[in-house]
Amino acid sequence: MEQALEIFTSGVVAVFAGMGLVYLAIRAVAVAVARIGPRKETAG
Amino acid sequence: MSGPVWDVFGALVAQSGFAHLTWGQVVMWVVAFGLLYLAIAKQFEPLLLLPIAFGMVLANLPEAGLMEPGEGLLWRFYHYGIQWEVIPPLIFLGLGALTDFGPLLSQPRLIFLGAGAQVGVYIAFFCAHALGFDLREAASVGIIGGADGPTTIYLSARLAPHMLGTVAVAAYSYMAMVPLIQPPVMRLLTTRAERRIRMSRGRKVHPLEKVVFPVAGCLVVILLVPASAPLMAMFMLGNLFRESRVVERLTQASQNELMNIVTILLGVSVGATMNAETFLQPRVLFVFALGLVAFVASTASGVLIAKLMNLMSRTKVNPLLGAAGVSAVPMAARVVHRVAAEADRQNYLLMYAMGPNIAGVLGTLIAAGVFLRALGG
Repeated sequence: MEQALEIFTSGVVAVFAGMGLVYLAIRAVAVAVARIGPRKETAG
Repeated sequence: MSGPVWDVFGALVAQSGFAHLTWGQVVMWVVAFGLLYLAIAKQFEPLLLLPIAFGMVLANLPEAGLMEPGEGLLWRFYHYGIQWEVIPPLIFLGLGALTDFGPLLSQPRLIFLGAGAQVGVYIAFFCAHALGFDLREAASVGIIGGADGPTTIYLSARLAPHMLGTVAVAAYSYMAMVPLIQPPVMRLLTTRAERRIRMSRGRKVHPLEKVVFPVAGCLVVILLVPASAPLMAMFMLGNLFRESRVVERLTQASQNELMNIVTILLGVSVGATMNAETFLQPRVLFVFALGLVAFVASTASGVLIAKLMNLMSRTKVNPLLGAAGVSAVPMAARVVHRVAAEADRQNYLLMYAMGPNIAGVLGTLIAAGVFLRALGG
């Protein structure tokens, strides 16, 4: 049961950390493209 | 004269499958016919349930030897396709080529709703372990809540191959029932006023962002959870095919021919693992019950995370979007849109719901990677 609780905790933390990193990656890519990319835009 | 004829006939019957048929196999046919009915007449996830059900029939034919290790045709599909981990990543290549990350890139904060829904995976995992499943089996049951078929199959094949067929059928059955399972949970956890919240318009997304994102996303997720690499890498490669717009042939092949071929092999192989000895056990009922718990918990946790975000942010999110965090693409997003429209017919949430819906796929991949890392699959 202890190991299950450990996996539960580490799993939830890892999922949020992973998504947080993806979030930061999206923001970083958006900033980088806005600075160096061509100005053509399209609807999301 | 009649003696030799009867002897030959008797020998023929004795060597046939009829003489070796067991009640368990007949029961499995009945279950398979039920799944065929659901796939054909009710169109419940027919692309997977139909080949799974037919695989079940074939695997329960006595003396046919289709699942004979080293010999049988279906065993070869299963061994080289699933045990060698070839088919699920190829399915993900096709899914990547079909996925538009635009809605997610447009409203990146919605990615946390995809993470929130994965809490349900771990709740179901914990419940399954408390009910007597060992950790590897409990992980296979919990991942059903991610509502992502290929990930469920991939993880189950690694951690609890004896439960593969049951877990896959539970996952696809509940995915087909998302429009029935999710709305009561969503209504229970939200007020009418919350369901009427309108989303602010997302920002414009530059085409270059869509090209860079699969590479950047792939790098950060695999660096954090290396065990997710096979599925994540193929998913993002397929998406890069699509967004680069320079390999149209590869994009088309991934979306269509390859995807269709591996879907056939995947379905038949999974169905073929479901023999009477492994399927006709009381534990199977627990798997189905816990699968339902996983779906409900994932829906609830997604909605609750959205409500939590509203407490911390001035820009409100419609909490129904949290329910789209279970992957089931695009069914869960459609359900969100429908439930929101019941409260406000002018509230058009479908495109917004696609963001957390796709984030749910990424979240389930990470959750599977964590299970593999922890349980040594």
